[in-house]
Amino acid sequence: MNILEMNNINKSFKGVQALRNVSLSVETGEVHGLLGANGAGKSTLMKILSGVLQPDGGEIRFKGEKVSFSSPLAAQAKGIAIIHQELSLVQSLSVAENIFLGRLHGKSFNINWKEVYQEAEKLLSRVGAHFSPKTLVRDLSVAEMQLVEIAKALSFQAHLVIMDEPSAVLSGPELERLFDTIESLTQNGVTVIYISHRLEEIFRICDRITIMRDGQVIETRKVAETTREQIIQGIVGRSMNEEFPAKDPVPLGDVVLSVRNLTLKGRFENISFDVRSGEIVGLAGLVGAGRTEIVRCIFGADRFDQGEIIYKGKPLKVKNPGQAISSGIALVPEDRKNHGLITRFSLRLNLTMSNLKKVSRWMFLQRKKERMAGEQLVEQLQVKTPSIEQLAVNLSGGNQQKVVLGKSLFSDADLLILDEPTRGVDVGAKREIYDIILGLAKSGKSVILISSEWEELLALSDRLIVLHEGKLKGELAGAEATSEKIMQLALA
Amino acid sequence: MGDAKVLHDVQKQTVQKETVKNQTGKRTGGWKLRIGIADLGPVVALAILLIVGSVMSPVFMTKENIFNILSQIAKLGLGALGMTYVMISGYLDLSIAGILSLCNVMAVGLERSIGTVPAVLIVLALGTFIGLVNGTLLRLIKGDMGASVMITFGTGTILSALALIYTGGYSIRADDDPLFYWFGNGKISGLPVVVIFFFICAVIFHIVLKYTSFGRSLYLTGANPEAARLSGIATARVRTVAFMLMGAIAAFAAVVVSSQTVSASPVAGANYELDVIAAVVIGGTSLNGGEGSIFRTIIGVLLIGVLSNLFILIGLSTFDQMMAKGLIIIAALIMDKYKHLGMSRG
Repeated sequence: MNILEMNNINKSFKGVQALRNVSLSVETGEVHGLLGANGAGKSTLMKILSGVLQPDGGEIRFKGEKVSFSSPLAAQAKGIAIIHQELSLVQSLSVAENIFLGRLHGKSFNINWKEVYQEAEKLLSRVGAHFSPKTLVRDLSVAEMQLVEIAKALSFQAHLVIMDEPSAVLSGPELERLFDTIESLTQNGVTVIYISHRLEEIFRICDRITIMRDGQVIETRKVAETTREQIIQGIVGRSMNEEFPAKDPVPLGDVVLSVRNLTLKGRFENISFDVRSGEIVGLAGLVGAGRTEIVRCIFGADRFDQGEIIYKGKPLKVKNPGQAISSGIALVPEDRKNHGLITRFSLRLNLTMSNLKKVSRWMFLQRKKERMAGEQLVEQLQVKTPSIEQLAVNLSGGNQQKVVLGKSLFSDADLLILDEPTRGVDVGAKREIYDIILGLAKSGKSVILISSEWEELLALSDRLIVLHEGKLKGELAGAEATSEKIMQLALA
Repeated sequence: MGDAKVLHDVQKQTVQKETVKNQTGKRTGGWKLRIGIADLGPVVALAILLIVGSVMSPVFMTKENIFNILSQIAKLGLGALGMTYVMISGYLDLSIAGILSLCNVMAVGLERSIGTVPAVLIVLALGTFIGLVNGTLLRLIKGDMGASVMITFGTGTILSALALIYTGGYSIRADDDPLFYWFGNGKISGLPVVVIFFFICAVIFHIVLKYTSFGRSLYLTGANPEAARLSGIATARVRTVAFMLMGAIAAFAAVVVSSQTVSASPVAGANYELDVIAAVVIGGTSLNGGEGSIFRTIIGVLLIGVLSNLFILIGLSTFDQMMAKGLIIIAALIMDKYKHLGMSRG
């Protein structure tokens, strides 16, 4: 019997269809894996199920009864609990207080602490936790906090627990304990929906899986009858059409950047790779693989512990991004709105901020020069804007991204580091950005490209470096480089 | 053409600044014609005050009274120039009360022992150095706006204590020196020297802010420190320089004050920091960094100066004046908030 039936769920955000006729059925007592690439719609679907978002259409049946949740509280009351990737515990309170937050036993001014602690103790032992309910949450490890979250979910008498990448921060024995806990939950009749990028785990604990891609359900199948390859194929898809420009082979020049044994404890270790002039090197990996951290260190935005960076034949010793930019390195940051642009300022101010020297003489800004430089960049990158005095906030995501690219061009960089340059950009503008990137490489500049979209990396990169949890797992070039191969290395 | 051009540019920038706040997303190109209402508020208020003043008191619009007002606001105005830089860069400086007190007593103490010129130079250097310390501390802890409040409160408290220790808690009198007396009381063809000083400083601060890459960096840093840093702006250095200019000009204000009174009090700076911040905010510079102008600040300072003068002319008690000042500060902040609310509704 199915505890949950979601039928033909639709959801769109500002005209973008996030979920299209999604149907999901979950059997009572099973662990149901939900898989898909970033942006496939898993989180949106789970937010609808847990009452955070309202669907545009479709029907949800829970324990055979048609339901609609106006808020997370409503879903909780029916017995659906969600454990988010970012834990939501109050650090300064005790475990027991967190479990019963807002509903401690007894009256407001006369709380029955004995009962609170006893109840908390019972819940903790159910999830296999061995710490006292009086412990402060801030003294727990992340894994232990996870257990508190699960205990909290149980305290609502949850029949269905959704776990959104609970393992992202766990490893080794902590992971084992999480699996044990999930097992004992299902033995007690609780159903679990489990979201994870790690295929190993899926095979280890899931009974059935549902694969999503581009807001649609691709398939639901039994894990026992599924191979790893089938899952990867389902997640990645095979469509490779003229979304991407044809890449002419560019003759590669000398090594421009050489990263040797770069290590930042707890983030990444022993990373070594080269980038040649005219080359686009893609960094592939899942969230948390350490890609952004590595390039931020190259750019001088963060410090690293060990290793060496050689740039244009000389050791690169930059203490801050300003020095990196003077050396000829530019970064297009992951977070466009907060790190790439000052959205409340005009395009002119944004475009020239990476190289004010170029538009000033004796410290004085040359307005005319600045205006001309800005207009030229806008023209060159075909930014759609009425004027360079337009505020960046008024531009579409794609055009904003072009401005960030323009800013890095204005600094006359020879090495461009692009961190998710097409995130949140519509298909048309994406293509234009691809053309810009390829044009840069053609003109002899070196590019390090980070992207969560494998297709994008494959289409643009000369060579791919695959990372997994801060370790370099392999380099792929030419025919070797396929989505399946990346996924295999990235999931390691 | 000098004045006219400056004024013209001020108006132009005023309009541009307004469009910065106008995030309605309309691409009508008509933005150039929009008049900066937010900037206009303080200007209109000042105009009304001037009209009311001339109606209510026959002495108000006399040359003597106007020079009197301008001399009175020198201390506030000088500090407000520096504070405008610090606030545009996204920080606040509460240490200027301590700087003013310490530099005030040291200016007089040194004037008595080693003469006016070395005294003034040492005091200016001291103010600049304190700014360097403030900036360096904040760079080391990668401080945000809140941290700047606490750090400068800390350094300011130390400086206030040093001022008290320096004189043993007493006020001290300056030696008779015409040059020392001249700073605060001298006149050049009828115009008070203080007013000329203030005017020169204001023009320099305005030009540096609007026309140099340093001025631009102040805005960029204050609007979004991380984006500015990733674009190669040396945000920590820019902010440190702002603190140093703030320290130097606060020290200069201390010299002026000690000369005006020909004496020094170790508590001369009490409430100075808050009065200065209030003047800058009343002028329309935001507490959130990334926007503001010397023009706005001068309007804010004039508003306070004219208002206090009027209060005295119509015979309001000191207590009533305090009450009025408090109300005006609150009103200015509400207006600032309202501007930003309008922005986010955009």
